[in-house]
Amino acid sequence: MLFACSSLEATAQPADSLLAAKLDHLRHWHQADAPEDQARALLAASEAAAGLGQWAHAQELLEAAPWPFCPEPLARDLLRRQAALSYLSGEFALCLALQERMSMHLGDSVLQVPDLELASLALAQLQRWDEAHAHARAAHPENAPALDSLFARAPKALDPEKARKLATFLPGFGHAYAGEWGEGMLNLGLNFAALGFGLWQGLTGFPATGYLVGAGLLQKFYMGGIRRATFLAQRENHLRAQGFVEQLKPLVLPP
Amino acid sequence: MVKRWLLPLLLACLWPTALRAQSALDQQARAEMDFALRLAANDWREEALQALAALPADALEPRLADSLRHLRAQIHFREADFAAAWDDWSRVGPTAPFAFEARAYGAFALLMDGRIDLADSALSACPTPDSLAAELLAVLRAGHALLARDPDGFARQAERFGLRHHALARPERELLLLAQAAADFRPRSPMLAAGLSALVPGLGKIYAGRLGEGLSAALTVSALGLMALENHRKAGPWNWKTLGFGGAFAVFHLGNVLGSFHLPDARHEDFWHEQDDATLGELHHALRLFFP
Repeated sequence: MLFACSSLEATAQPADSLLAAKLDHLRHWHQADAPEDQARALLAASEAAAGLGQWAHAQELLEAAPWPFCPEPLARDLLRRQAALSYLSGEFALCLALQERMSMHLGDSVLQVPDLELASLALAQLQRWDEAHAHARAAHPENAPALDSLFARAPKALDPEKARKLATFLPGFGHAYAGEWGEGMLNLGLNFAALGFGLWQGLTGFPATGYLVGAGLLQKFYMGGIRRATFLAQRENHLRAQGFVEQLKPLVLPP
Repeated sequence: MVKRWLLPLLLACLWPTALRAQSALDQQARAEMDFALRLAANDWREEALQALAALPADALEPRLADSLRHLRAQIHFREADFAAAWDDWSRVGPTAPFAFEARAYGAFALLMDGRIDLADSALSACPTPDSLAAELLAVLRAGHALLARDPDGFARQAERFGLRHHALARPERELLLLAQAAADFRPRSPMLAAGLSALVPGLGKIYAGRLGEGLSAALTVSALGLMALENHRKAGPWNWKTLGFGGAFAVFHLGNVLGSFHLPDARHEDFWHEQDDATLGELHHALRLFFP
């Protein structure tokens, strides 16, 4: 389903014909009386919008569909497609909420393999590893050993608060905690250099220079280092999660 | 003799067909406009404009053409395409029931687009069906005078403010306050700001209204000067630290003076930018309340 959505971008249809098609389908939606006909027309308009790469807009079109008044298969398709488009727009929490809505209103049994695959990826994006693991195994029990091995190596999230505290008491160590050893050593060196320069100047009879330069440089490198360490920890978390999701995709999505 | 009655006969035969064709076109246009209204209500404005773009306004019955232009202009306005909105509103006929709304909003669209001179002539051509409409027009013209930096023009329009109507009272009061602020605004002299900063680092910036920047400049330049002085006294004029801190002091001090010179103009621009934004906001407020 995800591939079906994303592959629409690769279609050879020119943008003009997709725009005209979208408008035609919206016209049918406007003229339709029955909720089912309205929903089908919006589904078709959403496909045209997805074909233009407008994932968020395609998802907005489906939000207007009166899915509670539609037969179950159609309601399921609408919500399923909305969830997929939310994922493609980067709204992972919304994707999971839509799936939850699907199972709440249509019963748990409505969740099929494509839904479990999508849930697994969305949960992995949100770094909820245990739940992602459970959904991936439910979707593809035949890949259980590979999935178990992969999730055993799931990235541990770094704590930005810990990085901040390390950088506060041990300049440079916050950077190292976030994986940037070189930058950490540089920050440590600069902090020591600023402190050393200030002390040297102070002890050799230049107190104003020592205080002002030492304090000024130290303040810049020290305070800047604390903020940088926090940022590096957050960035590392994001990169690790992205890398993990890329490894998960081949095990979860159909070839 | 045959030809004399042939033409009337031809017209009599063709006229109903032409009428039916016109009626069909008008019906189709009405249906498309309903469709566009529904799209716009769902915030799918791009699609609404697409639907309306295909309709030939000039071929429709005049009242319907006016409605089409008004609807299209409203959607363009919501999309912040003020030039296109004015383009449509300016073509709404004077006999349309919403002609005054179209002209008022059209003039406002011109003000939003920065075409103040054209807005003036648009406001002059605005009809005033009653005294309340005349008061709204006075509000718009007063706003225009503020944007055009015309205090006398503003004063003339402000005489017509009633300060009583629920839709206009607040915008009128706010415009009066804005005019007062504009009158009270005293531009600062760039030369004086630069001179003050040359004497006391940062003082020129404080004079220009930037206290934080002034204090920051004062601390930085003073610190560099102090270090240069200390090294000059203890290590001599040609010591590397004296030269380094002295050079940095000179650069920062010069930068501080130049910055102070340009700051009054920047302050001036910021002030008028905020004034203009507030003025346009009040005019829009008045229009939204007057034409719910």
